[in-house]
Amino acid sequence: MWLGLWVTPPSANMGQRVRLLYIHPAVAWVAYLAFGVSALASLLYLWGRTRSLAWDRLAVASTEVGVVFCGLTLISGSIWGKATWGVWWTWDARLDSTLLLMLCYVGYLVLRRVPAAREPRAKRSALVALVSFVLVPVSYLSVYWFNTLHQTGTVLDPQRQIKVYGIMAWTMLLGFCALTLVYAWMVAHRYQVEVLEERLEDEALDLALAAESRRAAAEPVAAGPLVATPAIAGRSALESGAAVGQAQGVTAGMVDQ
Amino acid sequence: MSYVDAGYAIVLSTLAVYSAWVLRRHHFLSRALPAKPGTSGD
Repeated sequence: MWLGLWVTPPSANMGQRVRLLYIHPAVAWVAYLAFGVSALASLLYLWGRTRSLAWDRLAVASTEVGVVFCGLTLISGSIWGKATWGVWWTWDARLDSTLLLMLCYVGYLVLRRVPAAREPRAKRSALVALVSFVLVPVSYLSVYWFNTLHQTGTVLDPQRQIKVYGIMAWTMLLGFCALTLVYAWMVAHRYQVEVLEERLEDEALDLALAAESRRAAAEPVAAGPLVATPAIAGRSALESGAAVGQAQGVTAGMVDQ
Repeated sequence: MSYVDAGYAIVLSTLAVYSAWVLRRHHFLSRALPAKPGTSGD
């Protein structure tokens, strides 16, 4: 940041506005990386040989961080657009595809909130992540496919010649590396939060089951055929929407939000 | 404040706020749940 704000020189074309070059492509790169990791983790979850809820947790952690960076891409791009084009927003292919990309992954996060057992939720989410990932190359290549206001590649031109030199290039590279490390750190911690939230959900479910058993035991026994109660059916029967919803209600009460 | 300053401020502050939120949640959940030795959480 110090290099970007104070050390590097202004550009001949953009003047001081070129300093946004050191953050906007970097946050966009991290957003693409995050969605790529999410898609890969989702694929590994769906593939039978590597199926594990750990991949699902990684996917959701990476997606959430990716949505934050994608939002920052749009905001920093909007600021740069106002400075360069004079408008905060324009219906340009790159901007539209990036906005759509972010909305798809916000949809993924919303889908995760629908009460469901872990395996069906993970499967649904994985499919959404994989389908949404199609927009990443579309967003990146949109500046080459369409006649857009947004500039083409920042580092390389279409003939693969480097366009950025000297300290500007090093500052850009440093920004990319720094934000990638920030992404890795955020995903690591968000993954741990996901692990702990699952444990909390399990413990809340245990409490809900215990409460249900006590309630069933306290009720008078009905005459006639024995009717299976949740206490008799056990955990597997309760891992449908209703009990998970109750457990989440208990969880919400237990956890200071 | 120039556009450049605003851009840097928004990016850095958003990352800081999000990091703080994740860390706070991590810390709270770690304290609320007893340690489970020998498990990977899977």
